[in-house]
Amino acid sequence: MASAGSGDEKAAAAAMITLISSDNEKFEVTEATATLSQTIRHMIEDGCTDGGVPLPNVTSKILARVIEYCKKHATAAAGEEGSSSSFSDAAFLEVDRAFLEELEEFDDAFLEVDRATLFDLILAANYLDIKGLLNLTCQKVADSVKGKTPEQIREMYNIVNDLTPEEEAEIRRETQWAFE
Amino acid sequence: MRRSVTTAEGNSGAAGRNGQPPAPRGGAERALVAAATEGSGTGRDQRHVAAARAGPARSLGPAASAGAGVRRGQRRPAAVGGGADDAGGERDLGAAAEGSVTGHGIGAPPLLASVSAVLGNGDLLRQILLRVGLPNYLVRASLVSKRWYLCASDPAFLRCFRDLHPPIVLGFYVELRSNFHRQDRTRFVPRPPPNELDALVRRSIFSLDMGIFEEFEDCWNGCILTYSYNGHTRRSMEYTVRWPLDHARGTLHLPLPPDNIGYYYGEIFPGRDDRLLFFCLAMRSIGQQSVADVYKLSEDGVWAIYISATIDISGTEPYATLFVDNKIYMLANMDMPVFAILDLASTSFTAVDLPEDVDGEGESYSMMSLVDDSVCLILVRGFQIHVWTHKANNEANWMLLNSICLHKMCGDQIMSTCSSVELCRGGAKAEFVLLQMGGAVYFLDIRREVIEKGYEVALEAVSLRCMFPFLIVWAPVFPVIKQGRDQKE
Repeated sequence: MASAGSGDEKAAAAAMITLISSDNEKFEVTEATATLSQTIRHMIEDGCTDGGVPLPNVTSKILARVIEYCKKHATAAAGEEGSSSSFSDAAFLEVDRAFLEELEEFDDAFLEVDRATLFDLILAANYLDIKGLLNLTCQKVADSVKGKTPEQIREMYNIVNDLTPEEEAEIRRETQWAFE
Repeated sequence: MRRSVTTAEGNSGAAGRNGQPPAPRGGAERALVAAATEGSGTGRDQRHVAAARAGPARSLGPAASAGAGVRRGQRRPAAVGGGADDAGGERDLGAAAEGSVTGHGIGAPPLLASVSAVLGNGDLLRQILLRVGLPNYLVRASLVSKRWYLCASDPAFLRCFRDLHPPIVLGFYVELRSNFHRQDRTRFVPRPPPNELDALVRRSIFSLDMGIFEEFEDCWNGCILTYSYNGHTRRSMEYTVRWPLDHARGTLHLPLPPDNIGYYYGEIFPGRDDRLLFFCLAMRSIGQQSVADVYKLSEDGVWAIYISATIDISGTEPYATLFVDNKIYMLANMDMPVFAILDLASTSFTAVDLPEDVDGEGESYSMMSLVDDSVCLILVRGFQIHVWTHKANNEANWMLLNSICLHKMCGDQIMSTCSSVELCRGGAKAEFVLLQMGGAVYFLDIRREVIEKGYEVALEAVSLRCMFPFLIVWAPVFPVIKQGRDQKE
């Protein structure tokens, strides 16, 4: 494990990046945490992170949550990589499962937020290009839609129905099986 | 070696057709328009018929098949437009996050800026709708607004949705070959549905109430196609479509398939993604050549010749067929197995080499299905199941995808009572196959390599004639609607 490659990785992992929220709050995170965001990864690769990375679309409140998510998932990713070389297959699977369970619990708890925060997190995950977080948050919204009637969904998210009655009737005729 | 003899009596869905006479005679009956519906007393059915008569552009009457084809053609540009719109939406995300209400009409109650920014962004809306999981949830969500509808009905979106959530098998139909209980030959064997589908399954009526001379033909997209001989002449053969998940829809009778004295083979193909579009393949011989005539059911319920193509092989009688993407794939058995592709777009009919070691020896009950853009060939050889894929646009390039040994999987206990394996039907992506072994039906999940017993033939039955898996509707039929102005902005 003492190869030059892994030494570089350690150095990279220790490197810190400063993220600046829209309300000018500074967050210092490890590069491993920050690079869960593809957007930031590309900025690091392009060498334009000196003096901090301004994120004008993300408030400090949301950025703090995003960083919390990335920290947890970056640790999990690092843990998995480390374990693959030092454990037997069975032990690796055991550790793997434990990690996954812990992550799932973390994700469930992480999603216990109000609607505004949830949607802000989606926007941030999309802007920062963090796949896992985008999946997680979009799934939460999708779950809220499951089994609901169109009327209930519109009411839930204040959406105006701009389908004409004729269009709606026509679609319903073709898809009647899907309705109660 | 001469598999056509075996398969003529076989239970494979496609093979079963071989025993059936080719397309019947009698063009006179064509006047029987496809609009006939059983139980036309219900309000819904009456509306259908009325719509068909009035003939408005958006008529959904059962006779609207050709029109539906045109509509489908129109949908694509709309989808492309939607994609472009989405790309723009994504770039503008920063602005949107600051409170723009793209996609929501003026007069909408005040929204959380973040909610409207997310739901107004085509790409994010797609990400959300992709995750609703079941097709019935998707259909309901599609009715929320125009934006949601256009997102949910986009063909590219539907492909992604299917990849994420392969359609659920609700159960399968078995048709018994019985001389004594003709009326009670078809059974539906349910598979335990996920909790979320309980309500849907409970209100569906799976019993088909088939006529004495009615037999199973095909099953797709929540529809069931049967044919019956109401009498002893081919002239009286009739094809019927039913919707078990939407019983109120009644039944649809197709006009008699086209006829020609020379046809030795006939088969009806539903236009998979449109439940009112049908094609009919009829084959005849001219010297050493086989001619395939493909008919399309027109809007006014008449079978009109669509294409005609010739191949330099005589008497090519398919025992397995697949209709997809405007192509008919067929496996036929001459002295050697032949794999031929009839391309309706280019009117070409060509033979393609099979995998090297497929030689017709000891193989039986093959079937084809589709995986993305490649055709899947599922082949049973002894107690081995092989799954091959073939790139649709790459000739003669087969790849062995999976090879399953039933002995290993089932254990000797089951296998010792079985003398043969018959393949029935597979999922569209070869996700599963139905097998018949020793008088029982088994459901084999190819991906998870799990096999479960589904049905055992009761004493009174002679044997199984055929079995068909019944899946949840996929893809839902989304009629084309006008794109609102706000969608283009």
